[in-house]
Order: sequence, then C-alpha cells, then structure tokens
Amino acid sequence: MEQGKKTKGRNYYDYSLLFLIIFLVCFGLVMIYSTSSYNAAKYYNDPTKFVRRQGILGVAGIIVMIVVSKIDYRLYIKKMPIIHVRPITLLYIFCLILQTAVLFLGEETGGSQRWIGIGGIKLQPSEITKICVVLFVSYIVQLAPKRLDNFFGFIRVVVFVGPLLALVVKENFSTALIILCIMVAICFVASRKKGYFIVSGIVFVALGALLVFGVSYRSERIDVWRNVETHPKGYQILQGLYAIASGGLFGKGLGQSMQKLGFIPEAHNDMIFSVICEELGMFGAIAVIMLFLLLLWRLFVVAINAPDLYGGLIATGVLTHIAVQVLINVSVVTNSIPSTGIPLPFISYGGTSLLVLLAEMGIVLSVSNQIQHER
Amino acid sequence: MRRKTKNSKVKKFTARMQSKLLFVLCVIIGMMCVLIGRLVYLNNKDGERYEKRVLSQQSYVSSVVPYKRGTITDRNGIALAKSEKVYNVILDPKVLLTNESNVEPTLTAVSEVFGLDYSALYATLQEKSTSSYVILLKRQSYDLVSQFQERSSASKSIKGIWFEEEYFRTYPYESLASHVIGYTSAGNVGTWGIEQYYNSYLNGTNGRTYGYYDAELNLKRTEKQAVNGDTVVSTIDLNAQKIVEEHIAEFMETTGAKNIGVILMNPNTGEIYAMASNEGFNLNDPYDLTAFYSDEEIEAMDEETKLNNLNQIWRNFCVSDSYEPGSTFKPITVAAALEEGLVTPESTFLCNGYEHVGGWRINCNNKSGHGYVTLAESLMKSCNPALMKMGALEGNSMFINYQKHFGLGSTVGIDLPGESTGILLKESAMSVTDLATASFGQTFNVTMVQMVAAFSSLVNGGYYYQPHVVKEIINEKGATVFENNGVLLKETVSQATSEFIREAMYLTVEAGTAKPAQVQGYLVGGKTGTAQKLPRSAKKYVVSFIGCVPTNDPQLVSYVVIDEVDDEEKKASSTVATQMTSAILGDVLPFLGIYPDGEIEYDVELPVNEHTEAGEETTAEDGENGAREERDGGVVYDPSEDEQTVDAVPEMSSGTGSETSGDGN
Repeated sequence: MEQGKKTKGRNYYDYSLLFLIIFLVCFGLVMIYSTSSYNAAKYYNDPTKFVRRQGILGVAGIIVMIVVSKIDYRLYIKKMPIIHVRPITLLYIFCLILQTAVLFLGEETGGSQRWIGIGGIKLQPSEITKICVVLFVSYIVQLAPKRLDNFFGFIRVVVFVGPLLALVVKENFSTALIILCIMVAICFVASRKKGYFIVSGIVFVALGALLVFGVSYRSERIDVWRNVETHPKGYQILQGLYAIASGGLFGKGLGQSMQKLGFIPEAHNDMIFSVICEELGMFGAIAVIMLFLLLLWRLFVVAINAPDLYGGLIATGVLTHIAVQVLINVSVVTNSIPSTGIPLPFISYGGTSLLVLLAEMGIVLSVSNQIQHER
Repeated sequence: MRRKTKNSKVKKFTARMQSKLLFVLCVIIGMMCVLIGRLVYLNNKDGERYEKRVLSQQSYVSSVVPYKRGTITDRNGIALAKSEKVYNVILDPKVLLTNESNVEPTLTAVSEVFGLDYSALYATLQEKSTSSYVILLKRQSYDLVSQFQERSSASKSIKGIWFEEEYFRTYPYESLASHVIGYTSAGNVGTWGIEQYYNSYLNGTNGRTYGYYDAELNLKRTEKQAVNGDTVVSTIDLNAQKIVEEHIAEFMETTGAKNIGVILMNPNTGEIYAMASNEGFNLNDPYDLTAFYSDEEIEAMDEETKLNNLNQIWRNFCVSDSYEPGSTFKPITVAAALEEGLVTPESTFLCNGYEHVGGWRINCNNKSGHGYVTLAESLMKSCNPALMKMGALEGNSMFINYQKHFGLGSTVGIDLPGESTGILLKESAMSVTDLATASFGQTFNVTMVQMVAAFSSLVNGGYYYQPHVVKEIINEKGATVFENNGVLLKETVSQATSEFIREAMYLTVEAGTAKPAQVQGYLVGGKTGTAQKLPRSAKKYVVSFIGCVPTNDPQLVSYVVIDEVDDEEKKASSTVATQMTSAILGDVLPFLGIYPDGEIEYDVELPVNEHTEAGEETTAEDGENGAREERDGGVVYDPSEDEQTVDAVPEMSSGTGSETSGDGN
C-alpha cells in the first residue's frame, strides 16, 4: 500500500462533519425511542426493542465509518495487486448480482421485493447500490471529464449505470430516482455544458411520468396524493399531516405525541419527521432541516477542497444522495409529492440502512482526510 | 478499461465545477426553504382543524370487536342464557375486483363452503363493485368459517372475504324461568329479570381493531381485545324450576286459573330456587304472541294493545303483582301478639262463628263456631274471630308497625326489576272493621316475595333474609366479583315465637286445614289462605298455601298462589293450592338435597283442645274473607264459610241491618 501522503505535512480531517453525523445518529436514537417505545411495549412487551437494535447498529456503523475514513478512497480505483481488478469494478459487479438476486430471492413486502436476507441480517441491496453508483459514476466521469461536454459522453455514463438502474426501477422507484439524481448531479457538476441537461431533464420527467402512471399502485398513489383527506389509502399520510399541523410552533414536547400511539403506523420509520414536527414543533423541524443543511454544507466544503476530481465527485454524489433523500422524505411527509417510502437519513429506523449510510459518510471523511492542510 | 489513470496527472476539481456544485447546493437549499414554507403553511392553514381531529380521533375506531355478554347459569352451573359467537360473511368487492383472476376461486370457495349460488354471488359482486362492505350471510357458525379460513390460507387467490364477529344470545330452555331470566333486546340491552338487573355485570367492553396502511399501502390491523361480560350464577335450580313449571302447566291444563305463582326459597339465606308463573314466554322470541293468542286475535290488535298484551305476558306475577294474602297472613298477626306478650300459647279464644265489629258481622269460616280455641288452634282451624280478637288487642298502630316490620308495604329489594310495594292501609284511615279484617289478611295488598320473606323469618328463628335470585358473579378470569350468601336485613321475632309458629304450622298440616299439603316422609308445615277479591260481589278468589319443610328445621319455604281458579266448585277452595304444593314438594325435595326424615318424631306439645269439632274433618279452610256491601245504611260482613263440602261457596248476606248475615250453603 502506498501511504506517501503521510509525509507531506498534516492531513486534514473534517471533525465538524464527523460530529454532525454522530449528533444526527444520536438525535435519531432519541426520536426512535420516543416514537417506537409505545408500540414496542404494546406488541413486543419491550419498549426498547427498536432503539436497542438501532443503537447497536449505529455504534457499529460509526466504527465502520471511522475505519473506512482511514482508508484512502483512491484505492478503490486502483487495481488490486494479485487479481488485477479494481475494487470499484468488483463492487459494480457485486451490486448487479445482488440486485438480480433480490428479484428472485427477495422477501416480498407489499408488492415489491426489496429485502434480501444474508446470515440473519435483512438488507436492502439498493442501499449498497447507491454507494456503488456514487463511486462508479465518479470513476467513469473522472476518467475523461471532457467527454461529458457533449451529449454522448453523458449517454456513455447512462449506459454504464443503465443495468443497475433498470434492475432497481422495477421494484423500487424512489431509489431509482435517487440513483438518477446522483448520476445527473455528478455529470452536471463535471460537465462544462449545461444545455443538454435541460433536454435530458425533460426526457426524464416524461419517462418518470410514464412509469408513475403506467404502474397501477403508483397511479393510485397519485390519487391518494390529490385527495389525501378523502381517499381511504390516504390514512397514513393524513395522520402524518395531522401530526405536523397539530405540533404548533414549539410542539407538544418530547415524548408527548399522540399520533404515534397507533395512528401513524410504524412512526419510527419513514414517518418519523411528522412526529418530530408534532413533538418539537416547527422550531424542532426547521432545526432538523438546518442540521441537514449544515451537513450538506460540510459535504460541499469537502467537495470543493477535495485533493482530486475523483474525491470531489464522490463528495458531490454523497451530497446529492443525502439531499435528495431528505427532500423526498420531507416532501412525502408534508404531502408535497405522492407517497413513496424513503427513510430520513440517520434518523429513521433501519439498522442496515444506517450502517451502509455511515460507511458512505466514511468515504467522504476519507476524502476530507486527504485534503492537505495548507490554508 | 482504460489504463489512463496510471501515472496521469492528478485531475482537479476545478473552480468551474465548484461553482456548479454551489449552484446545486443553492437549488437544494431553495427546495428546503420551500419545504419549510410548506410546513409553516400546513401549520397555519390546517393547524387548528387538524389538531381537533387528532384529539377527536383518539376515539376513532375502524371496527368494533364485540365482547361476549356473560352467561346466566342456574345454581349448578347449567347455562340458562348464553351468547354464542357467530360470524357475518362480508364481501369486499373493491378488493376482490382489483385482481380479476381472484374472482373465480374466491366465489367458488364461498359458494362451496357456505352453500351460496355462484351466479347470484357473481351478480352481487358486479352490482356492488364500488362497495367495500356487502354482507353476504349472517350468523354463520364457527365450523363453516374455520373451514373457509383453511381454504383461504391454502390458496393465495382467495381475497376480499372477511368475517365480522357477533354474539347471538340464546336461551337453551326457552320459556323456563322466563320471568326471572328476562331477555335481551337491541343487542345487549337486558330487558326484564336478571338480564336487566345485572345488565352492567353481564355486559363487557368492546374491543377495537384499528386499521391503518403501512408504507406499502397494505392494510394493517391491530386489535385491542374485548373484555367479556361476567357470568351470573343465579340461585335458581334448573330441576326445581322445571318441576314447578310442569306442575303449573298441568294445573292450567286440567283446571286452569287466571294466574298461578309459585316461589321456592331457602329460608336460611333468601336464595330463590324456583320462581314461576303460568305465563312463561319463549325468551328466544319474546315478542311472539302466537303462543297466547290466535292469529286472528293478533291480527286484530293495534300496536298499543299488542304492547299491553306483551307487557302482561312479560310481567312477573311473583314480584310485580299484589293481592290480599288472606289467611296466610294469620301467622304474622299471631307472632306479633306473642312478641308483644298480648297472648301466650295457653291463651284461649271463644269463637261463636262470627264477630261483631264496628257494626259489621264478620263470620268465621265455620259459622257454627269453633268454640274455645287455643292460640295454636286459631291457626290450625284458621279461626277468624280469634284473630280479630288478637288484632283488636294489638291496635292500629302496633298492627301496622308489625306489618312494616315484616317487610310489607315496601319492596323487599329482590334483585329483579319491577318489584311492587303492595298497599297497606294508613293508620289514620283504618277503622276497627279494617283492623279486624286485616288481622286475617284482608284489606291490604302484598306481593309474593314479601310474603315468602316474612314467612321465612317466622319459621327460621326470626331472621329476615332478603330474597334474591343471584348467588355469585364471576368474571372472565374466574374471579368472584360479587357474592350473595344471604343478606340478613333484620330479626323479626324471637326464637320462642318462631318455634311456636313452626309447631303450629306443623299441626295445621298434620291435623288442621292444610292436610292435603302433607308429603310422605316429610315434616311439612304451613298455612292455607283464601281471599275474596275486590269487588267482593264478583266472587273471585285468590287461594294460596305457604309452607316450610322440614318444619323442625326449615330448609325450604314454598308459596303457591292461584288467582281465580277456573272451576266454580273449587274456586274458593285452598285445597287446590295445598295439593299443588304437596305435588311440587314431593318431586322437588330430593333434587334440592332435602331427603325424607323417615320416622323422625316431632313432638309438638302445644295446648290444643282435644274436642276439636270442625277442624279434624276440615280438609281445607276456605273463603275466610269477608265481603262487604252497603245496604240500607248498614254494612254487612259475610266471611265465607268453612268448606266441608266443595260446594260450600260463600254467599253474600242478603238481610238488612248489622244483624243480618247471609249463611252459606
């Protein structure tokens, strides 16, 4: 391994980003305990059931993050010594296999197969796919950034990502959307032209609409979205809206939510933001959004200071990933867009998802670690 | 892939890219601001409205899980009223039609399991395709439903059928003890009897299922279990009740009467073993009049008469109806006189066959007179003049106090609805004649439970227990939440008085007017009664017998009241009541664990004249009540006469003035 950097003065490490992440994870644990304890006690006779699991995986995730942050991210695109394959290529193939496997072996939840069980741990392959896309697109783009200056360069990227996207979109539209956004954002940032992004934007909107209205349960969601107060399946979203609107300026106080008592189903999952609004009010909700903005700002700082194009693009991809996920989650909870299941990063319940997300942050921290502290 | 990266110069994240990324960040910040705006908007626009909903939906339910109304059992745990779980089959066409391929297997399964016509089902499905709730069948058994559920768990394509649980109240013994048990209307509202009185115990609390949609828009249900109602253990003994009702039915068939009431009670606790009247109704169909009226009669009734007739049928004669008790009241007058020391067992009274009181001539049942009678004989022979003398000794105030002391004139507090108080004369409104006739049980009204409770206290040593029909209430978990082992309300008489009454009652059956009440092998004691109903001229009678067994240590008090016997010859004869008591006791006693005493000697050494004239031959005393009629300014009492022969129907006096008296034939 080459660790030549060490000799060149002090390495930078973005501690603000690290502590922001740890803070968000801890805040998430508090909110998960608040939202899940009632139902956990009721159905499992153990109020800490969910928060314990999340806590254990959160700690594991932070350790993984710190370990990953100490591994030079540039190793991912260097050929490994013996087998002469780049780790990134391996990851890409691994993701293709996982995504294919989940279609056949996955556990079905509500019409979609998203989960795959590996040694007792349930995992959504799409979580790993998101990291893979960040790393892989960045890699493709940094190979020849100038190629992106024309439309075919962009198409080339699309061709590479295409298979993954196709595998994901079948079962999980929202994840496909995130992957798409990551890809487009990286290309957009790397490219010197803007024009064709407008064209491709329109194409994607058209494609998206086709998918949305083409698949029955998605067009039903549009119905729900339009008539949330009257549609029978608007129940969950409506309950979330009740929670948000009844929170007021400073909320009912931590732990005081009424909506979590069975009205918002699985309040510790995707709908956790609505309970934050109810318990901590608009003040708390905006504070949480501000925390995410701060996180994005740190990612931005890492990106612009990145020692090379690859690192910068990775940070860009992660930034986009977090931003899109927060935006979609908050939009769904506030019924600004049709319902789709996207967790709020770091805060929503989901152990493996948190673990993978923290590993992703580790990569960004690794980028920050390679910044030469000159300024 | 290309090997370009090797040794190539490090590519930088250019300033141009930085500015583009800043642009992306700005877009994101902009979108976040929009969302913050949306949050603020939601709070302002819908805040109050939604907050109210949050509060109001705390009671929101998607469906109710019904509780099971408690069972009513007899004293041995045999269910008299129970609720059975039944299922309504609900079709959800909307769900079923979301996948056409499910339609055929689902409808086939439904038609095969529940025996419905496939094409009719299909038509319903098409017709109600936008509905989510179509009741296909009601009250299906668990067997069928579980059969269906087995099939549906085996096949993935059976969709859109679910079951709604319900409880259906049934009364396995139909009309048995109908007045005591009562029925339920409108689901779980108890009407009459125990069903009404113990409604709050019998009813439980409904559970709820909350329906919600998860992230994948699947309907999830969580269920809060219902709390089932408590089991009410009544004091009724199924066998005793059955036997009593059989005897009533038999009497109604052979002789007939307007009303018959029978109560069997444990005098030492107040537990009622049986309580019946002739008009039992089918509890499973309480609104059915066909058993009592012909179709044409029912056709002719308007709503109001129908309701009146139903109320008449539902009425519990033993608790709600009052009447003049007649001679069965006499032991109370005697006991009061004994308690107050006005008489002793050795006291004697001269009976000329009549008594002049307040300008009335009031006859004894034996118009030729009993001669000198002892206190015991006054009861044995049911001698009116002796009782009138005792009444006079007591006086208005004391007499009425004792009536009240024995629980007359007010409800005894039996745990059944609709109890009436009876009617007592006011002290101020009571003339000497009123007192005289009241002393042998006329001019005031009592209910059967009042009499049973009072008489029980007379024979059990003076302990007045509150009559009750419920022994115990047990909740779902088997814990006793209510127990009634007898509520001692007061002590009415001393042990000595009680003993005297018991012995006198025994002699009444053994050698007095109540001989037909004897039961082989048992020491039966008791007192007969015949009361002429108002107006006296109508010649309608209430005949009765109240008794206890075994007399030396009473375990059972029985009271039979027959209102207006449909037989001109027997209508004023208490023999019918004593005979019925004997028949009932003979059948019932072994079931209640009261076995023949065998050759037990019951030595009764009460002062009794040996030269009894009428008493010995008298099989039943009768019509000891007087009839009062206004005539030429004078009033005449004509207590009916002894019934040596059954045709001895008392008659009204026809003469004028206070001297005259009609003599019976």
